[in-house]
Amino acid sequence: MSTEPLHHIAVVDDDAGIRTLLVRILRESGYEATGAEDGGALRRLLAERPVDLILLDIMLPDETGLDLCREVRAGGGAAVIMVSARGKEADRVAGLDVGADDYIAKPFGRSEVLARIRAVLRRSTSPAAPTARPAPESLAFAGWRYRPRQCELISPTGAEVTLTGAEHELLLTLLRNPQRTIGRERLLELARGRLGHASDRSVDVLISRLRRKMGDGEASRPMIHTVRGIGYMLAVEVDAAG
Amino acid sequence: MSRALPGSLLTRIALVLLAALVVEFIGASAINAWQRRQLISYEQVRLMAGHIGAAQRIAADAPRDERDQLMRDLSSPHLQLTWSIAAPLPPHAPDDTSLSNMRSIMFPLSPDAGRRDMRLRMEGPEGRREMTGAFALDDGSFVSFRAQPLYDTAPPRIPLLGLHLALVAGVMIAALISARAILQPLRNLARTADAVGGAQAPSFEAEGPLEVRQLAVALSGMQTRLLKAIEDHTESLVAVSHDLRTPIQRLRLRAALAPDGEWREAFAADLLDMERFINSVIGYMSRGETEEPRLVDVAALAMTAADDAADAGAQIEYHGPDVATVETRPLALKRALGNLVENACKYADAVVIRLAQHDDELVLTVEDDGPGIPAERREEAFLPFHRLKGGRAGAHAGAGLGLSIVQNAVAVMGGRVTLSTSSLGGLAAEIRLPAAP
Repeated sequence: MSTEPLHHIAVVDDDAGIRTLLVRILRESGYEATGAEDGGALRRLLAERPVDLILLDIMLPDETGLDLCREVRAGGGAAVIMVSARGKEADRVAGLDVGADDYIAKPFGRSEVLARIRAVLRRSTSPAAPTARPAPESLAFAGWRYRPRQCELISPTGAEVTLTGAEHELLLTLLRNPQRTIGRERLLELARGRLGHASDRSVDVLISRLRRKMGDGEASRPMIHTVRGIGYMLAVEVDAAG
Repeated sequence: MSRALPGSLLTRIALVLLAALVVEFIGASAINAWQRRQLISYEQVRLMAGHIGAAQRIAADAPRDERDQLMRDLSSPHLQLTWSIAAPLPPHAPDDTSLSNMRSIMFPLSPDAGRRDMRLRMEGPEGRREMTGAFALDDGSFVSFRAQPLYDTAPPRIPLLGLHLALVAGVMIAALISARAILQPLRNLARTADAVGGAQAPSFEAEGPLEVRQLAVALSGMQTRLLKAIEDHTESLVAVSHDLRTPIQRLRLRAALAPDGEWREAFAADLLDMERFINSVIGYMSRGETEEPRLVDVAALAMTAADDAADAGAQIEYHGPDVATVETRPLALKRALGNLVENACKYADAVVIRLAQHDDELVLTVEDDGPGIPAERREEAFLPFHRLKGGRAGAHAGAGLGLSIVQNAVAVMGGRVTLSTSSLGGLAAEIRLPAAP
């Protein structure tokens, strides 16, 4: 039994139907939820009550969701998940650029949105990763380069290496905690956020896939270390830029 | 042909015709003049014979010591006359039939003594001969002559014909070359028009004669209008598809809130179908986007495609190298491979992605153990909105755009896609990409 107050989530979307339905789903899942139809309504809401997370549609009638996100993040506090249309990569990157914590593509399903919200809330309340710190523009390690917002991994030879969504999450976590061991549990949570279903084996499978793609399996000194019984660690130095 | 020449096509053609006729006329006149030169020889000989005959009479009537001088006076550059006591030439043998033509011309024009003893000799190369001769006078002295140059050969018929033919041929060829040059702008236009609809809209050069320039401008305007119309249609189609996402989103959320039951599952599945259909149409429409080629690890890309499908529940494996770097367009390749994998998972149970890297190309194959596509239907399978029957039970129908999207994406990358039968029993879809090392 938890004495914690429920998280309060704001749903910003100009479509009334989507607002109502999402609010209902969130309430049924144990959150407090309020709908806002545009920037003005959101501002009023933020002034009245504390909000923990905002589901923000990028396409709003009076101002773009991007500007609104920037404004909200500047004020600090609430985490933001941008809602964009599927297939618009540029929107996703733009959202992350203005400080959104995550994105989700419309149309999404119930389990998908709940998983995202859980992941973001966990990240934002975890002591190890404060919300105000956005992902850096690019991370360099052992000749490799990773740009989190574009989800782009470049090998030392300059080739773009494709990763699955879950692999991106894992890599980013390892990169943000260089030379620190990360527990399998934590990695499992991240994997669940993207995969929807994840078993214990998932983390090992993901790590081995990452290793294979990064040529780590054959290396004499692999970049990703297995710390027996605990988890994994990125054993090289990381330079963050931007 | 530059713009300095007169503008209209008709004018240029008329000029070429005129030039051809003039050259033909001049050339034919020249040949005729040459031919006439050949014919002159008969008349020339007659004149000469008359001249020589008169010289003989004058010499016969004049005192002997004046004869030499008289002959010199009567000489001309082409006909030198001399008088001598002795014969400068050997006598003409009775059975000698050479120069009989000459003799027959000269015979009637000479006095009696000359007729009795006429000695002629022809020397020199063919066609430019020199004739020498001597005529006896009554007192045994001789009037001799040298005539040169003398054309005695009859105009050769075959070379003459050849000359005329050569002239006609030369003028024709020159005229054709000119005509070809005049029409080159038209050919360029046709070539440019062929390129319309391809990767880049070509620009119609306004060059050449007036009519062709007008055509170029008209074609350019037509292309612009067509492209704009297509763009407008595409935009509205994409906009409609985007707009459909909002009601679909609502339906998905509503279905999530509905009470449990098999109804909910089926509903969600149908919504997923609709969404996939829309994504398919949008994906097909947005093939015109340009993407710069870059270095890509195709092995990682293929592994990711397999992993994503496996994470969604498919039985799929990747066989190939861990790393395969080539310069290509990653978004196009992801789209192509994604569609092939989606198709395979739709129609089959087990799927394999194979990657092989050769010196000059990359071969990416998606094989499955499904029903495959019979050889005679493979070509039509690439047609847009063409659906093949026989999906697995429960699999959605789709828009029928998958293979067209693959074909367009592969074309953008400069490669080829072919369908064949897989060793697994179903379809093998093979993408070949040119790969610089």
